[in-house]
Amino acid sequence: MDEKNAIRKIKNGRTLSNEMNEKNIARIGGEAELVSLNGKSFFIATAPIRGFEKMVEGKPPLFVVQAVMRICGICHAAHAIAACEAFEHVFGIYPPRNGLIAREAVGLLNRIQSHLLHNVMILPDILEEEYKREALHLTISMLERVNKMLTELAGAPTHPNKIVIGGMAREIDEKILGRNKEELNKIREIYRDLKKLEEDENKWSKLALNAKDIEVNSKYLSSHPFYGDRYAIKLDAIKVVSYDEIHEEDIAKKSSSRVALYNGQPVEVGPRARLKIYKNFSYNGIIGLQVARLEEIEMALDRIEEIFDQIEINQPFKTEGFMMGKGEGIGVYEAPRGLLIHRAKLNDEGRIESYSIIVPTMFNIPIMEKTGNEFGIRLYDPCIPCTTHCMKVRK
Amino acid sequence: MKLSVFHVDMGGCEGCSVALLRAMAAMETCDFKSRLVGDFEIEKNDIVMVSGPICLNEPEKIELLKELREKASVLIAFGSCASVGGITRYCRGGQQPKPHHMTFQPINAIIDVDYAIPGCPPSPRMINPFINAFITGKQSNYMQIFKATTKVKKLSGFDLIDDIILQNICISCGACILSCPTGAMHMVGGKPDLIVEKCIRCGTCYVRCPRASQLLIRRYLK
Repeated sequence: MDEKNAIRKIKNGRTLSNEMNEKNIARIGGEAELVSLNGKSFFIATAPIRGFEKMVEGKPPLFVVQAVMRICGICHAAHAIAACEAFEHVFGIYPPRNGLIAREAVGLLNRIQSHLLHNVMILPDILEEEYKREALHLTISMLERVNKMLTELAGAPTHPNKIVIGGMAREIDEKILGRNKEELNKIREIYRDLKKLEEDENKWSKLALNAKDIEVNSKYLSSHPFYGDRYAIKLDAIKVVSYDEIHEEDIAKKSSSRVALYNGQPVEVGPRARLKIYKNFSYNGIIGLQVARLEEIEMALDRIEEIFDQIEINQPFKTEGFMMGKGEGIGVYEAPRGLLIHRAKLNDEGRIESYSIIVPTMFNIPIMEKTGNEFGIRLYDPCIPCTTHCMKVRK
Repeated sequence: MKLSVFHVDMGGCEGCSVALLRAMAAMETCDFKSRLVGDFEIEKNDIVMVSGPICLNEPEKIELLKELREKASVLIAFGSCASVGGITRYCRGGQQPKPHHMTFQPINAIIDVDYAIPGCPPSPRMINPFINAFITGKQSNYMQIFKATTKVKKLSGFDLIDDIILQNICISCGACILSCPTGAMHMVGGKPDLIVEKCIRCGTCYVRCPRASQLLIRRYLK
């Protein structure tokens, strides 16, 4: 940390002790610091809190779907889907099959997009120097094609506005379907090359090879391999505490994030948790997270192809004519980084009385800081824009 | 000589960062650095791009913004939050664990901005004319709109309705409808109309409107 920063910190009324080492974590979504103090590591999110849960109070559901999407520019569709699920739960509606699976496909495209963006960030750690350029090139050309598909199916590559309460606002016709099936095949081709390159342990850096043996014992939590299921997890078992409740040190007060526990224990959520629970996945070392991400891309591509075959042209994509009214609802969705929960309570005018969001990184914080180094944390792909917008769940 | 471009996100959603990364990956004339990809050291730069709003309750961020201004030849606010507030215009604070974070502003509340590009996020292609202009030294008319946008602190669908549609100077071209990132604009009786609960105050419709963008230039630059 440079001198100017240090002075700035002291000016803000914080004292720095000698044995403390603060470091900005590079190449993650958002701003955070890794602080080591007396042999213990802390993950401190430093981004300001825009306060989306407070922002949406008193607003109508239509606004909320557009607003929560803007919590995060990386897992935008995930937030939109979770919010739609929550409102559909309140209104007691179930989107038509077309709408539901089209939304699932859009969510999966967002998942691939997020994993690829993370790949851009983490590649310099994983591969030996001579392979980096090629891998980066493959990742970016794949990303461009995924963005194109998202634009066509959901309206935009970032913040797709066709995800709406009751299904999807864009109907997929034969032309769109044909074009996207073709695109999907091209993505598959690039993916094959990327996988071959990145899964070859001979091409891994020392850092990556060492990470095979580093294990952080944890339990796993996931609700669905592709979409999300509010009945697959015990919602009452989730408890949100502030960061300084799990660490008594003063430094913990600085963090703008909160932490979520399941049955009072930290649990890992995300790609590996999904594969551990729904597939046979054997990697226990932290590098397994990256391997799981690559695997998930393939699963997602398969599932999207399946969905394309199941879409019935000329059938509805959206529930029509429902009433917005009072009630409570919960939306559970498997975001790229893991379990995402939106809870909405509406008043009798159909406006938000209270809204709360639990994001995946809140579960992962106590686990990833145990790795104690920047690379370990990066493997967990923390998302700061999401993390810094959450509050206690009201009972 | 390559153009040195530095990007910092002040605490937005990172959607603009992703759009910039996509744009700059294809730009060989630039030496692009971003906090997102691990460049923390702020050196003297030809262009500094700032995305995300400034939280006035965070003195550290204000200092950072001033430092960025000092070290930039040209400073561009990229995206709606940085240029006109966008979704953060609805922030009201009160949220744990830092309830005092309640005042969010576009960055021109603190520093002088040379160009402001609204959009949620702006298309990666938006950046090309700017880079070209700095390399060739010729400014295009197109850039005037974004120079004028630096003078405003808010822009939304309501402004478009007030200034263009209610004044009856709308030509019904549909640019606002095509550009709106949330689908908050639709045609009613041949004229655009705002679905108020969907407007996130990003200002994209206003700068895309052929009439409104000229109004901006006349009001603030002439």
